[in-house]
Amino acid sequence: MERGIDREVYEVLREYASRIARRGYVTAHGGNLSIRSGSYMWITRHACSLENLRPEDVVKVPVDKPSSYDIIASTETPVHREIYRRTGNLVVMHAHPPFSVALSFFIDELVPIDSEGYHVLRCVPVVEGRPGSPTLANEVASKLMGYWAVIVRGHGVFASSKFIDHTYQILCMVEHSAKLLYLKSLYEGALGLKAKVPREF
Amino acid sequence: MDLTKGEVEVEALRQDVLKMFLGGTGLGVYWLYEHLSPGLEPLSKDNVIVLASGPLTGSRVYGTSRASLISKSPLTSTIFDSTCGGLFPTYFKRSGFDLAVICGASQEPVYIHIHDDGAEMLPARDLWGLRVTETIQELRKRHGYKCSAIAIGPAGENLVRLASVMGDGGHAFGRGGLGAVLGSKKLKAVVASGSKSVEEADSERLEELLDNMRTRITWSPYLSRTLKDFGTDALLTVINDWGLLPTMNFRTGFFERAYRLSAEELAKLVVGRRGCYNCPIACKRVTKTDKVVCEGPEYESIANLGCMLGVDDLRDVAEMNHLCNELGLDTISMGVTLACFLELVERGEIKLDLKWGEADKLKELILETAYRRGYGKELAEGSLRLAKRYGEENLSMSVKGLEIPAYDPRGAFGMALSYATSYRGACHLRSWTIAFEVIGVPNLVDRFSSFEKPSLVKYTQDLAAVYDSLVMCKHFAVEFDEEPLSAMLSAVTGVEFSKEELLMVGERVWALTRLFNLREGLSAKDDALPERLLTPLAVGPTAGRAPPLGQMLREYYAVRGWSPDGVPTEECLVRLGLKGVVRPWRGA
Repeated sequence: MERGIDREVYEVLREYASRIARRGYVTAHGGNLSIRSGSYMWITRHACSLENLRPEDVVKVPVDKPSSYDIIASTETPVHREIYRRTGNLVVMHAHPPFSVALSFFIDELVPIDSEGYHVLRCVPVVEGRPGSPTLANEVASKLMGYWAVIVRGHGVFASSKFIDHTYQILCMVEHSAKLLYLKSLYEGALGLKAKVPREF
Repeated sequence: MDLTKGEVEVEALRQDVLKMFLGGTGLGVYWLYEHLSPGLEPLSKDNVIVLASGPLTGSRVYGTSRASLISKSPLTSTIFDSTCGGLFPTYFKRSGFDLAVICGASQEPVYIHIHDDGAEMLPARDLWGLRVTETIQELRKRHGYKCSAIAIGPAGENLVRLASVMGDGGHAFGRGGLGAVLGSKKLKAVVASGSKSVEEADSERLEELLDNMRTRITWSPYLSRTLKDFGTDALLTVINDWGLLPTMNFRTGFFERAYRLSAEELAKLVVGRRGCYNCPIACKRVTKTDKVVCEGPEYESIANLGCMLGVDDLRDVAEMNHLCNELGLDTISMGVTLACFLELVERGEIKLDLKWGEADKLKELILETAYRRGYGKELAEGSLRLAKRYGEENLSMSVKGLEIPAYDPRGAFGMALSYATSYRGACHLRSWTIAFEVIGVPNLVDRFSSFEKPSLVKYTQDLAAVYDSLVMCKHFAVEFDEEPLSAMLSAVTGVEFSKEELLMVGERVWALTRLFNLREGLSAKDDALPERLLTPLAVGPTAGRAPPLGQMLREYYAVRGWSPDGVPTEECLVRLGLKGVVRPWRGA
């Protein structure tokens, strides 16, 4: 952590990192999140454990250009940067929730079947690209100009908004919607049940 | 090559020895252990210097334009190896020779030219006294531009114990005073102009492996972004924030004005980027100040000529670095020795008008060191001899006489063990646990924990010895461990190596270097750190922390299969296949 970090920034990141980990959305050292502050962002460091974020696991890097602090910042730092450059968002979360990742192998966009998911998310596009690459940064950032979240095929979910709790909510909803799709297909396939579409959605 | 007789002999290497030691450092260590008499004076004509390429040198594998130089060090009196990149290693390998063993001493200055048809010694009287770049340029005029050279500067000629052997483009066999060994032999330079191709046993398999290597390099943020965008100085701000940046002779691990030395500030002076032959990263920087255009400075040089001395102007640091390169001085040892000198001045042991941060005066002292003038005579001996002279041995920040590089071990306990156990003295390149403890590649470990550090240090030491025997740039070690290396080695040589066999080569190197040093009279008591670095700081990011070195050492010896007093056991030597193959170290 760069000297002079606002303790509150760390505490907030630690709290949400812990929640993401507790939900099983990341493996031991996966996932990352950041908060924008003016021309800088506070981002979790490479290889840290979101389960137990330490003060030195948070690093401050500029939004508009690479920095020498990138040496320890998350691999996905260029993606966070591009999101901040192209949207007015102030928070980015990236996790690897299993239902969303598994589903991404079969679809090009996730349209939630549950009412809350549909009304909030409408649609979650699926993009491709290797972690931290300029291609992925461009793909994700351009989609997040029109959507709350994107799924990177075979990798994970990026969610972004202006507020941290809202971003966390979006992330959870993406995974919840993916899980419901799975469960619905399970009922249909395994139990032979026929789905009924709600009259009012 | 016998410089006394002016004779050159060519002989074939034994296949069984090659399989056991590969090349580079491994082969050089084996050769020195078998042939050097214990107790000899490193600057006598009886010392030998081995120049070695490795099985991967000059191949299509990235990061392999690299060679090792191995000798007994005049600074540490231990066995000592140093590796260097650039163009020279490839031209040397292409001559068809794997190893050049240089012994004896010439009466008159000479240089050696190694080419496709053999090697010859040529007069160098007119080169003696020249600085490094002038020397290399002159040699290129003589031998054409399809060649490369390594050379010593005035420091090596004057037997300065901090003298390096410099290659073209600021590359260096930097540490241990090997430049003085060349100087003692009146050997000014070695030119290589080989033009043969480097053979590949299985080109198709190698191409597949290289495809994979390219992908992994691109995927690695450390290799493809940080080193490429910022060079090695990218480390400085993080190292400082974490309290690891040695400042003013290791009195603290935090330099208030480090931001003035950051990679972002360096970028303002950068006018170009360079790399070794066949390297996609090109981590080296070319910088320009009002006075010089120079290579680097690298992180180690910036830290040791900057924060270590209280100098906070990068232009001054770049100029001091340039001066060291041109005079043929190791920037790490020079910086730490100057810091020791400054502390002696501050304590009134040396009567001189000199304060921390006075760059112009420090530049003058660097010059004096290279020419052994004035206080330079004392500085030329290195920090340990300097401090002892004034009865202040504790002020020398060194291990086994080698000055400590720019990571304060109070902030990364793995580095404490790494420094203490390195066969060549304090060295960051024999086990760079910073990758694990700070950067988090390939994994992140708790820097303040001693748990698992002995195993980590042993593993990274063995892997580093493999890299130095192949010979390959260790920047790649963050991404490429023994598994891809063994596959690439097998593809290039046609001799199958498993990853276990490869790591065992590294372990063998560590056992043999240990035996060499034991034979020279070193013991476990030399696996030590200066008291200052075992004493916690009162303030700063590492306040209250100190590495439990004794505890880690005990476990380290056990992990290596050495006795509690740090001697490789019979069982260990049998396991490594050394028993009966190399001379017994006792009574040799």
